[in-house]
Amino acid sequence: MIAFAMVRHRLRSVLGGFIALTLGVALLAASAIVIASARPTVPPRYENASVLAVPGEAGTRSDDFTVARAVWSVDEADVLVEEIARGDGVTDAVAEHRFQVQVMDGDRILGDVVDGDPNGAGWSSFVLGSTKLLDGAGPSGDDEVVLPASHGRSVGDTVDVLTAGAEWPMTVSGITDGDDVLLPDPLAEESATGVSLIGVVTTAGAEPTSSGDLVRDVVGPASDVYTDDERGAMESEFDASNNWVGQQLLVLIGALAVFVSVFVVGTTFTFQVSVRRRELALLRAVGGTPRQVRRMLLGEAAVVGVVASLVGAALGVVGSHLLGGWMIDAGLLSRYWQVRSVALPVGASVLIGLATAVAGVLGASRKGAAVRPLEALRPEGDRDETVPKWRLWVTVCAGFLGVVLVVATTRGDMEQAIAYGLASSLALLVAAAVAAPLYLPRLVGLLPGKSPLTELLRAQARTDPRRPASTLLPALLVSTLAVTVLGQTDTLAGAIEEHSRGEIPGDAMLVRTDGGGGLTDTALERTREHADGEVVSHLSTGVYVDGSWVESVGLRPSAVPEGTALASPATAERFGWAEGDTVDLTWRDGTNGRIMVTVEEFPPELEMWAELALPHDLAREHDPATFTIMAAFDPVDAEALSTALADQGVHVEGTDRLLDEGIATEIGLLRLFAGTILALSLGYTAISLANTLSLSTSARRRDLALLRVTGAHRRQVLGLLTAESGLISTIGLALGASLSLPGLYALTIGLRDEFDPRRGPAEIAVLLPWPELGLVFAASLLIGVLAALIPAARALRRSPSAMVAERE
Amino acid sequence: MNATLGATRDALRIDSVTKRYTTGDHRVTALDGASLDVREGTFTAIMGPSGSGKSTLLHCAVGLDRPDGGSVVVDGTDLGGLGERELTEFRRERVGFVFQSYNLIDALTAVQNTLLPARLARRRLGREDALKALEEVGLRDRADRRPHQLSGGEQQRVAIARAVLTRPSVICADEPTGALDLARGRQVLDHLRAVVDTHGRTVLVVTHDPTVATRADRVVFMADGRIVDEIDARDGERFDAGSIALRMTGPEES
Repeated sequence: MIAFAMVRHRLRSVLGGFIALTLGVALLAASAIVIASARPTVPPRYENASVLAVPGEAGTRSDDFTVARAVWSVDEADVLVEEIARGDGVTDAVAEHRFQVQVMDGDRILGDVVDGDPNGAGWSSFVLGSTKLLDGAGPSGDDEVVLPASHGRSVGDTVDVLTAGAEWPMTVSGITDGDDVLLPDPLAEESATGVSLIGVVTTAGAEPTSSGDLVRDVVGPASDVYTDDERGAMESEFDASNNWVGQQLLVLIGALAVFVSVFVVGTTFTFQVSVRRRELALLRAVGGTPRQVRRMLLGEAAVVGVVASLVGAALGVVGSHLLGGWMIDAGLLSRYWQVRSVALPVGASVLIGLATAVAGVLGASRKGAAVRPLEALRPEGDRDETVPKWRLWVTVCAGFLGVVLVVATTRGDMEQAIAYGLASSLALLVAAAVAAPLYLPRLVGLLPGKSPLTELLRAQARTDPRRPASTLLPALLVSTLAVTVLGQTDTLAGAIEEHSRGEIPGDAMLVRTDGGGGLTDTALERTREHADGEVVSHLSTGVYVDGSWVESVGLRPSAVPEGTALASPATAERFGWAEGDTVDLTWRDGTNGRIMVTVEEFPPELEMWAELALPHDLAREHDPATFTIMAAFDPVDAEALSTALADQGVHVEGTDRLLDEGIATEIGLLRLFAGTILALSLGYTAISLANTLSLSTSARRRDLALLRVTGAHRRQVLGLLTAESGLISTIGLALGASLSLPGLYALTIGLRDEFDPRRGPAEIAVLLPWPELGLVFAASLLIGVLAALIPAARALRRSPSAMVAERE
Repeated sequence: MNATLGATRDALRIDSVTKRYTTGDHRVTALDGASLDVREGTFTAIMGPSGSGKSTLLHCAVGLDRPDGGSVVVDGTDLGGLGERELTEFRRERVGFVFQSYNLIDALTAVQNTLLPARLARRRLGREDALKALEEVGLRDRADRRPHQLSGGEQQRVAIARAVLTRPSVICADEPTGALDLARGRQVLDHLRAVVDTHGRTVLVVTHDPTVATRADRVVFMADGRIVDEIDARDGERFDAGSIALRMTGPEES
């Protein structure tokens, strides 16, 4: 009850901690809801299938992340499907023929760019999904197609359907609410590259487990079979559309929210205790035991924690919709995302919020309980000025951790280096924050000048170092985060800009007009007619050697002699191939073959990802489903070519500009991260600075009054406060900036080997965006000074005698 | 009721208490073997010049501070043998306080402040008891005001109500009227006097105001950390402000 009355009374002074915690919990809850709801789902196209079978894993793609699976040849798949279809309770077994497709209406591209799986399939796949036919019917002849409603066509319209190697004028026979373009099965079979999935629909009463076992028996142990029962596994296998980057951003936001909340709540409450010493002493004098005082302070924190967490959770639920929507728009989240899971993430966030409040106040409550009753009788109790041991310990430990992380930064790959670099700055920040009462008086003591006011400044920092220390922290926090995050972004951007421009032959490239990826063979052929010299094109495909995936490229033109494959030295070594060997392999479509290999160093733009190069036509023969990813050339007449290519949905673009755009996209993502983090930390800083300084000013009203009584002008007092706040903010900003530098320099070392290895270690410089940093610094300086001046100006409005007479 | 009848027992025995402080480089001896016995149900005033050790004596007497040497026995309990927690509990059960200023917690109303020690001690006292105590100091109608809405004298009277509520054996006041004007100071003293006369409590007041001392049953004078003189009203000595002031200048000059 006492805790309750105290909180109510001190509403203003706990406000900073309250707002920080509310925001922290809101961010945490929103991030957690988005993450929890972003768990994979079975895309609608497979929702009706109770069993899904896929060939076993064969390795990963060149991103080291996406799983590459084996493939069934069409003949193999037909045998399997026939056998499955004979099983009890099976109504449909479908070998899916999936391929990349583009639908054109003359020169106009229909439909939106779709991430994830290719969206062309045979009509037979329709039964696997929950997708509904909105109008018309399935294709009845070879020249009919079923389109998603998003393509904006109606039944009876004519369209051109483009696959990698073919083009068909077709009539729309039906419209669905799904995402797939459905072709007649014979055409789909010829357009797809083998079979990558068999879907089984069972009768309503069929036991999913037994259907699963049935399918498992047929496809064999090398393949993976998922049923309704294993919804989770099924979901993660069939939803590839969730963006990893988005999850990282969310985790980062959540972690930062917790870190900053603990930081701000901790400082607020600790500072509270020092402001309230007399009150606590009085409580002790009238009979409160140290335990009761501690419990009361914890109780206060709990009241603040509960209310803030609940308000934060409510805001978080609302925020998750906004955050999710924004992330979908930014391409950071699957289109299928929606708020699905609320209770668990919100519950966890509320608990974390409460724990944060209690953790933040734990140290403060100890300190509060140690207040001696006699301090109630003295205007300024004689305080223990020795440095508590824990400060030394925490400083040493956090500092050591920071150094370890700096070393780790120099050793890690790009992602690790970024994460460790940020963590090292945060560790050093904790060390600097905890040790602040130790060094701050000495720093302030260096202040030159002999005016009475500067002497007062120095004396005050000496006698009560904790107060300026707590006003130092927000500036320290914002500067560390700003310099680290912006510095990392710019350093990385500079490095990418300078070192990751591949050597792409030719002045121009083909790009899809709608921003998607993929070029048809027709487009390549027409380009060849209009190019000055050769057209270099890449078809991203793969082969299997001894059952494992080999990332391959289909190359044009004569880089690879007809009928041979070009292996990089690393690939040759991996499989023990020598120049001129003829090797056995399985093509992308599941058929077996033999080919002669020559071993040769790959050009840099290929070496980044491809292990084996095939002639384009050979690659296309065994992988008809995949669009070509790149075509580069010197154009004769770029405009004429663009016109000629319009019905293929592509146009010509300058190579330099494309590279700039590509780098800009990559850097843009970095900046998005940096901006988010920075906005968050600036907001927190404003709150916490305003809070600490207004508390500190009201705690010093008596000092201010005495200054006025002893003859200081109002303007002099305000000047003193401005100088103090400005000085301390400046120290914090400078210190924070210097804490970030070790991590940034370590990053440049860590990134050295992340670029083209043949050019040797890359020379990378630390780049700092001075204009942005200047703006951040100026903003936090301004916040600091205003937060000190506004409450002081209010206090000083009264006459000196009224101020002195005023009770504390 | 039985204030004078039972005035034979000692509520407080202080025996050769010493206390030293170290401030900066030099040590200050605040108490130098002070001894004092206070009978139950009496009003004792401690007087002396600044620095004579009177406040320190008061603090040691009620367990707010620990002496370096000597013993303090309150109502039969030797404070030297108590740990920090026991000492705190002893304070809230057996001792009541009124300070010169800053007596009340701003966040709490008058009645909540009055109840605070009882609540900390988990005594079964409720709002009604607190209101009764406030009524005795004439503040029942101010019960739900917060300290900043009360005058200085009213705040002191709330502190008195709080001090008597738990029926402690000793009530201590350190310059209770020091921050008040004459009329308000007199009111506060009236209430302290009533605590002795109607409730039979023992009151110990530190003051340097002779008019305050005239309301006491006994005045002891301190100098240099020791009791150097005393006047007892019942010994038939002259007991007015003038003679007390005169007696006080004695030790000050010596």
